[in-house]
Amino acid sequence: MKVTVVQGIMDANKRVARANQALFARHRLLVLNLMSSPGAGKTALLERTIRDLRGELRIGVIEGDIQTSLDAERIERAGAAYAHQINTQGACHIDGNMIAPVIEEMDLGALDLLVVENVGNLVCPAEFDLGEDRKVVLFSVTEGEDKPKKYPLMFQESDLMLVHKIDLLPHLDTDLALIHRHALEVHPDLTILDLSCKSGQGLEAFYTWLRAEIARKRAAPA
Amino acid sequence: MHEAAIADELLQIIEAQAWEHGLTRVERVALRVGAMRMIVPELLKAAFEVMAVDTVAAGAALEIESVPLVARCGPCAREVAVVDHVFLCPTCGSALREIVSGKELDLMQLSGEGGPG
Repeated sequence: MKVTVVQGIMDANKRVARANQALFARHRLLVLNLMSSPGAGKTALLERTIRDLRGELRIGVIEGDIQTSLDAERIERAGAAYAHQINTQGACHIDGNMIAPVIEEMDLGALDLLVVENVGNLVCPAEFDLGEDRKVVLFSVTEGEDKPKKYPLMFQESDLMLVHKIDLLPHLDTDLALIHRHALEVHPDLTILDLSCKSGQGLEAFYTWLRAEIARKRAAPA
Repeated sequence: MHEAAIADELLQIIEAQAWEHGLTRVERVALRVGAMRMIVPELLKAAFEVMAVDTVAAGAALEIESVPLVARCGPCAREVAVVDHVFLCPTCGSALREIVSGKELDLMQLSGEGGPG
């Protein structure tokens, strides 16, 4: 016999993501899904952000890695209000199910911002919603101008692109304007900020974006 | 590489649907996959084949219908094919914000043995 189904393959994950989203909404907590290729500097940027905004924002981080708890240890040392490590045991992304038990037992009301640092990978994480408010793709200038076009889904799905390690530009042949152009071809409404967590360039604009998003979420209906 | 993750999600749906409809063996699985999903059909089939061993869908054939990426240009009031993931209208250069097709990732139909009667 034949069974006509017509069901989205990602529907099960989307349902879990919606439940997570409802929990975040009750606490009016801004949640970011931070994604990049391995080594783009996700953890380093978070460490710097946590240090710079200590006393102003209580930031929690859920770290996703295939193995080790090294990143959560770094985040904790930086002074995060909360750090939790998820080991995906081989999975190349975090999905809604993996964070559901973590956020269930967290004190979400004690945070101003929750960041889920995804597994380093420009492909799989783009497919899995977590219930986040914003997807943020971090992209370092050493990765090559063509990558937004080679991994279009990631740049299509993201709301904000952070072009990282711009302090290295004097040493590279990288064309920053070309990175922007390629990303905007794939996603014309993408917000792009250039920064370096080492030199501090561009960080204030990123923090301004964070503050505005937090204010918007706080004003949203629960 | 995300084909394995997608095959895993797909297999979970197939097992649930087969149980619900009383299928004892799934022989054919029809999917619709949009171009934006960047799925390599051969990789999805290979991942599915390996994961489906010892399940109701062991040995099932995956039939993948590819859906082209099409967007609607507001100013031109017409649909345009999106080439090389450039979301700009080739005629007027406007940003293409309204995706008409190409994001699909859907299970359409299962067929196999068993079922009511």
